[in-house]
Amino acid sequence: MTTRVLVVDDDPGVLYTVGHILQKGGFEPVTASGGQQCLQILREGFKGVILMDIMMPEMDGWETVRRIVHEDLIEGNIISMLTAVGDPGAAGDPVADVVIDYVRKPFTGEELTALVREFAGYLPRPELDPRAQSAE
Amino acid sequence: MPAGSCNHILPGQGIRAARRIGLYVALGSGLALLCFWLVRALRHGPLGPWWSLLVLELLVIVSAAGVALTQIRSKRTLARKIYLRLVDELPIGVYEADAGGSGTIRAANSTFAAMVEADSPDALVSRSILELYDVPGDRQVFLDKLAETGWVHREQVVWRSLTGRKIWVSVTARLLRDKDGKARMCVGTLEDITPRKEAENNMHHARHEAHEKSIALQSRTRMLEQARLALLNIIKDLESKQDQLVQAQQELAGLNETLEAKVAQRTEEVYRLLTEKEAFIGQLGHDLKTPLTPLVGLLPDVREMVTDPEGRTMVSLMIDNVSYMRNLVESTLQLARLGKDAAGQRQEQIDLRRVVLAVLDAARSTLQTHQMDVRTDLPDPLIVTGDPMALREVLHNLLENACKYTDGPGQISITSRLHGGRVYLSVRDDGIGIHPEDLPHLFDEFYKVDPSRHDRSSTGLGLSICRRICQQHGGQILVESAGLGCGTTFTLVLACAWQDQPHPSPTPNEPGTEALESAT
Repeated sequence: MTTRVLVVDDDPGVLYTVGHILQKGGFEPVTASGGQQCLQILREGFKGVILMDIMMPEMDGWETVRRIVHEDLIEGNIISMLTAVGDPGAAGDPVADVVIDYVRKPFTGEELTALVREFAGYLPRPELDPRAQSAE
Repeated sequence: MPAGSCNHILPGQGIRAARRIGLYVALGSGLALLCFWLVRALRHGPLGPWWSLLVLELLVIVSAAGVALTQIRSKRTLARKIYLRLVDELPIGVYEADAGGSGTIRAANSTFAAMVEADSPDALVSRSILELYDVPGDRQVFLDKLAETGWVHREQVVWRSLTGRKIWVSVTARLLRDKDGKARMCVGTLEDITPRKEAENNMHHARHEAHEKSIALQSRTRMLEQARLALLNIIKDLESKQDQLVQAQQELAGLNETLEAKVAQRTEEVYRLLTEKEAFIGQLGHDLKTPLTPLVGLLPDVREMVTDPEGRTMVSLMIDNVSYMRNLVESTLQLARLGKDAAGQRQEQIDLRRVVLAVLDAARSTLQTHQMDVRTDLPDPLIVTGDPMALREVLHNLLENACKYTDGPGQISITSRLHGGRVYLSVRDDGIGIHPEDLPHLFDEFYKVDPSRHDRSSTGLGLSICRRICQQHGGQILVESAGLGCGTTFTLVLACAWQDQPHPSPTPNEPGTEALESAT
């Protein structure tokens, strides 16, 4: 079973790019164009790596993470923020503690794939390690 | 002299009175008998033997009368003597003089003599009273008054004593006339008023002096008054100046307040602008990086999908340029962020040796690609105060530069030394070196040693970022190079957190080459 990666970004170009890279890297990308859609997907039982854009209209990345924690949807998921700003801006906020890392835009395919592979290693099901799968 | 005391002056007067009465009785009775005998002789004729009695009686009468006359004369002489003694002892001068114009003194008392310093009253006799006058005018006035009214009353005149001393005399004189009204003599009294006159004179002098002093005092008082008025004017002037000063001070205080308010306003404005700038940089970063993401992420795949060699070359060109843009955007935004104060920077005690090792680990593949051999000689630990991520970036930049500017296999040595509470961390390469002309500009923004090369691998911002980071750490970055082909040494100077940490071995090849401080 391939590792599922939920990409949350309001920019369609980014969504497509990340989806393409992840698919090529052996992951199963799921895309959401905003916080609400992300929450909906999680409520439907998504488990995996979440790449969350910070600057989004209506509900930004931090607010979405807060909702995820609030609705107790964090279990079985690893969250990393996708950021195009230099300063992530949530240092000291307790919600930053549930975030494993910051992926800074722009990134090359190799960079992103390596990072996501690392994040996937923290998922509670080691049998889902994509490397193990790709070795099959 | 009191009248009652006459008795004492004439002793035995009572006895003489009784004797006088006896004398008068004898005389009376003798005259009565004589008369009896005369009447008898006329009636009865010659007296006969009674004549002898009559003669005897006549003898008694004559002797009694002689005795009475003698007594009267001696009494008059005594009175005269008493009078003269009294006059002589009077405390005022008394004299008698001729009534004529000569004024010759007939008699004078002792007081007069003493007054004019004559040896005795007799010495004055036959001198003229007029010769004693010192002022001829006074003498004439005296004579005129005496001739006119017959007396002079307390005329105050100046005399010369016989020894020539000047004396003040109050003269009272009267002409004594006979029954026919002819002037018989002149009597007068003299009072020495010299002490009084002198006292008066002194008093006059004193009064004069007092008057003069009073005038001087008045003048002094006037001067003082003028000085006081001048002083008052000065005080008024000073008060007005003080008022002006107070007013100016108040105005200044007002201005100060306004200025402070303005400064506060400006400061607030600056902070607002800084905040706006931060927001702008954040937004710019977002807006630049987001569209770059598909380009950076997808172009390598596009290149793989293109089979035509020319197409692949074109895409490779795009990838290079996109990569350059990415570096440029990231470096520019980082530099802009570093421009703000260091408040947002993490300041913690970190082991610089671990940071160096971590950077070397991360850059392993790059170092291998460039065939760079790295030697480190650092104490364990090497504690400094700073932001580990920022220092990691500086070291990463320096390593990248060392790789980039070394042709073929090379060597990098990383050493440190402690001096004056500071850590000097040097990164030395044996690369192409730097021309002395380029050294002063090496840390300038967008400065490239060879701008004509259009080197897409360098943004010209890396060393500027390094310098900013060092400045924010309160330190500096130095560069040394002996010239082209002689290698380059970059040295970070940072505050040492632990003074007692192990002292590192001295850096080999201590720089004797040109050293430049990046900043102060």
